[in-house]
Amino acid sequence: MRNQLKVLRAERDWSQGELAQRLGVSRQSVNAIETGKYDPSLPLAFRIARVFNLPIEAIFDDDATAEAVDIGPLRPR
Amino acid sequence: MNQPKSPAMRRLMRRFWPLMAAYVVLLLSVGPIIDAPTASLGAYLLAGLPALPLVGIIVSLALYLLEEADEFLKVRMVEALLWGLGAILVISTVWGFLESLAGAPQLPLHWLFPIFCVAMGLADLLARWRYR
Repeated sequence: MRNQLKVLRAERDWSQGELAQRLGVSRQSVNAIETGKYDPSLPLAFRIARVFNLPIEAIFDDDATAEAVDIGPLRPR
Repeated sequence: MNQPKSPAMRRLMRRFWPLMAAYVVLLLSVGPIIDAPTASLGAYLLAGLPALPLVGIIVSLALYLLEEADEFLKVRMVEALLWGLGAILVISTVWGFLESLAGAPQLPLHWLFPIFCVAMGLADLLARWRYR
């Protein structure tokens, strides 16, 4: 999954280790998530979102989101 | 690169090394005590002693999975365990056929644990490279 972790971290001038400390995970975890080699669980994704004070979808971008199609207005049955 | 260990990994190492030391001591001391393989209950109990620390190591690995708070490190350990288990399943299955059908020399079963450890070690190296 693509993500904005590296950009967001750079904006705040945080090292991987510093972000890892804020999240309570290892630096290896931050590196694996940042490079897209590991997708975090939902609880960890929420923790990441809280640390950056952003919604999850502003940080993580799966292909489905990128290719979402307009299905039109929902009509009540 | 030497990476800092998580608290759960440090606990695993604190359990692993004494158990490994106990295994080596028992392995070296039990052999000479039992002169020749006999089928007595005492011989069975003595011969099984070196296996106990190895069972302890397997329990320690299970405890590590329960205690590791870092989900990524836990996934890496599960991957390494699967590589280790896969290796011993493949080797014992293939060698079993070679023994039964081609008269290959018998593979002592207690070698499976060291093979499991080596496969886990190689898997860990692979993971370090994959997630570098």
